Amino acid sequence: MSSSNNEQTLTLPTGKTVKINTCLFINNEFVDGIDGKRFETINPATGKVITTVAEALSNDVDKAVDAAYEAYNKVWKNVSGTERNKLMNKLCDLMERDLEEMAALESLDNGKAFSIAKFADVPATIKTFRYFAGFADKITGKIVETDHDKFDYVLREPFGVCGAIIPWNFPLLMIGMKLGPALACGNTIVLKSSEFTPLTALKFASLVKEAGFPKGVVNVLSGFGPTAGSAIAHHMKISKVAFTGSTNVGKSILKASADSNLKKVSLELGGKSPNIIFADANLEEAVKWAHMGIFFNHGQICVAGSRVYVQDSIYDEFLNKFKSYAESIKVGDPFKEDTYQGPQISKIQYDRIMSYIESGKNEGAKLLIGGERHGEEGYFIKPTIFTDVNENMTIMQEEIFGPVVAISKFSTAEEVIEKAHLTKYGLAAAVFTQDITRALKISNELQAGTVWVNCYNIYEPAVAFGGYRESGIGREGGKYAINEYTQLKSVQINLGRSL
Amino acid sequence: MNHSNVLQNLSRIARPFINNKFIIPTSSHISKSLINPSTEESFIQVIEGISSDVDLAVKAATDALHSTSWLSLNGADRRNILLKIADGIDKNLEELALIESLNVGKPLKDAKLEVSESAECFRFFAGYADKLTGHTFCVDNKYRLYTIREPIGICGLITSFNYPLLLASWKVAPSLACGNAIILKPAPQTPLTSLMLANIISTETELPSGIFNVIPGDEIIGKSITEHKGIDKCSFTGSEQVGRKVLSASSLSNLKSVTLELGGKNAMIVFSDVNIDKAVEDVYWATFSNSGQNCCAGSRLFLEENIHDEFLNKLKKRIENTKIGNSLDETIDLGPLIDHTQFQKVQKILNNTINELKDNNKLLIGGKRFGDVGFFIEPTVFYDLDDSEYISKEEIFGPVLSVLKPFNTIEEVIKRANNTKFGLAAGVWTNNYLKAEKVVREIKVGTTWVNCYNLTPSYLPFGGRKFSGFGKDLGEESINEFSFIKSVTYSL
Repeated sequence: MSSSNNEQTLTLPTGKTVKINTCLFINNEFVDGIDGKRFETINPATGKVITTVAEALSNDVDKAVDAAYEAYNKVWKNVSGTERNKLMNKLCDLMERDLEEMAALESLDNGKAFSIAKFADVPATIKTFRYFAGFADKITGKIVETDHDKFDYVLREPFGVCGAIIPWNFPLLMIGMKLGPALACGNTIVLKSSEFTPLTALKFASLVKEAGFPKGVVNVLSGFGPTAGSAIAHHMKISKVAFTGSTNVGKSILKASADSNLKKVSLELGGKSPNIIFADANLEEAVKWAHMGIFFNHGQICVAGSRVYVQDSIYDEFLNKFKSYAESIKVGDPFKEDTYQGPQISKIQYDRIMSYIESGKNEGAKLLIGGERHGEEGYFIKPTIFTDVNENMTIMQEEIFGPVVAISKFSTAEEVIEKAHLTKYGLAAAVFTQDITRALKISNELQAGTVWVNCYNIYEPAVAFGGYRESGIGREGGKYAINEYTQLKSVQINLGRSL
Repeated sequence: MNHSNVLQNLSRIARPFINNKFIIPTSSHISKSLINPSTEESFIQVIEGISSDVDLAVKAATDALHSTSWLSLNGADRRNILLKIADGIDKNLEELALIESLNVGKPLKDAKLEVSESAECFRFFAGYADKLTGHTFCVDNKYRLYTIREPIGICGLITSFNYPLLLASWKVAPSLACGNAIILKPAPQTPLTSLMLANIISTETELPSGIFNVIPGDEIIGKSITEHKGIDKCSFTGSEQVGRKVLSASSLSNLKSVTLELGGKNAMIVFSDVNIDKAVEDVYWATFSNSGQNCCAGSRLFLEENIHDEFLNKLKKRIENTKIGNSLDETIDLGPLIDHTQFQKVQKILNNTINELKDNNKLLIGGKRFGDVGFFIEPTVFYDLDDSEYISKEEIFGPVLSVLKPFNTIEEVIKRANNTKFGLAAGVWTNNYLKAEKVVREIKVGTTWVNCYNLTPSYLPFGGRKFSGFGKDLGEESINEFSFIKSVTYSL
């Protein structure tokens, strides 16, 4: 299949244009799908089609895996960490060069505010990549002292071909979080972007080629879960798969590993994270953080603080302030300067969120603000607050993934810690208090992979990130991601022992 | 490249660099001529620092460390600065290599490699700046216990003349990665590339003023730095003699922490099971690279008895093919020694040795000056030496190889190799894995090379023991050298 010149020029709402090749990126070339299938990607702010992209089916996945496998065995495994560091830093330089373009594409395809894509998403992606670039030449093992006549050591080696299946909520950042460590560790990759947000992954692919990565090291496929995603999860030549998405799909990926070749699996799944605010918290700050904790990215964030527990003595004051703050959010066109909240990603998500809102009303929760569509076109939902909830309600148990928060009261630490743990999830949590002992003790108690104290949603590429319980398996971030993308080999050398 | 243009541009920066400026000299400042060791001619003037410059630098560094522009920078910011320094070095590679070669007498092709390695060193340590960690200890509801890693403060970095830019990079990069401020004193003969580094930092990065300072000078400046009560650490590369003074100065002033990377009389051990041609080539470069002016130069050679004669014959032939000449000539193997002092010192040792050994005829090749101009000495080999000879024991720092009497058993050669006051490096040549492992385990040095020599990638710690000093450059260990661990206990 020859390289396709399917380069399109998209006009961005900024007025600028961007050239993007919408084919599959395999072996450093953009190619059509073998069956020639394509699918549409929608602008969620308008509901209109942006463009079509090539769709990868399982035969295309095979082709990409073959390319990645060959690249690993013939080239990439012989490329030094120092070289990988350099290449990854070069890629970062290119992303910096094209930052505004990438941010605009991200905003167009995902619906997040352009200013946020420009100042948060793309820089965070670059920061993540630069962080992991610096790990590429620091992958170490250990010499282990055992006995006088032995020379024993443990090596950390790449897996070979890794599959990455990423969601639509932070398309670029997800690439950074997975490809950063995967490449640093010396793996080659087959990446499936989300069917809702294929565009920035394709732009990224062109930069990979421009940076000088050998062909086949990074392969980028646009496609759907049940076809391309499943093909990756079941593939016999993929040694590891990393998935971020819903808990249900995560479980099917684990099952696919069991049904195929026991590929190593890391899963970063959903959450229903509790945000606990004590009476001695700095109230003004707590309101702002709690607000950002749920409404950032339109609630489409796995660690969203979607259950806010406020200590009774400050509950009324908190609620008033929080309500005012939420009502002041600018919802609208992502490309408008002051927009904070854009549309939800798709009609499917819009419908899901609205049905959760209905269930909240039906199950007796009190709707304080919002609960309805914003505007006439696109998938906008007004910031929504429920109060007077109980822990059994659907809106308190299930991940809504939208701008919907439930705020309730508590009296004692013991009570709220128990409530915090009443869901199947354990991704994140937060506690607001000025009492350091309380902060440390409660963070000890909370069953969550990330605990924020007096803040929320801060992303750090260097710390471990992942879920307790059904929020996931494995950890990304920091040295822990390096552990996820390598496997250990012990070598024991006999220096003189005979039988 | 126009050499005289490059040199002319350098005159603006051939002076102390303090608080992000190349100083305007006062009447107390003296201008010094730098001599090109290939031609013995003066090629540039440098304004040396004076003691009060050290005080000024310490004040600038102290203020900088407390400034908001520094305190607002996190590890990722320092990383980005270090990456820019690496890029800056790469961008200016030709000029830096030219000056290093002119100044040191180092073959231009070696200078180019070293400049490239210097950039890589910065790139490597950039990746540590955002990865500094402490430890947490068992979760416990009574206490929260942990360690945090902090910068040390102001680091005095003193480098030697043999690898000016590279050694500066070895120390500057990890030091900055850890968040320290720096006062760098290059060797008096070779200040230029360190000042060019300052220029790169000043023009290509946003490193806050006062964090990086360079003061060219000799032992007066060295003394000011090592005795300064405002400097928190000194990392020194140089001779054992001066190293002792550094340690002493710390003891007499403020107990600043000290790292010493001193000399060596490094053993090379060649077993009979090797490919002799390859071993000869390795040994040749191990000894004569940089004209032997290398702390880890291979300078004592132990050959297994049954390959002794063949090896020496081949080594002699290899040496006969050596091209010596002006350092800028890209076809040469060896350049001159650094200056007249070293040149005289080495000549004296050679003359004394030749006189003492006259009746025994243990001179294989070399032994005298090469040419009439420039500090060139022929690559020289003495052989069949007793372990107790002066040149079997003392560091010469010139292109002189001492081949000691051959060995018969591995136990014997290890014992003899260890019988030295130094402990910096060693090389072993064998195809027998068990022999290699035995030597590696039992030889008392900081770096061992097996079937190769002189490789110093950034990730391997480098530093010796005994009279070769203590502490490590490079590797994760240097991050430990340049940071301070604080233990914290919260009672809950």
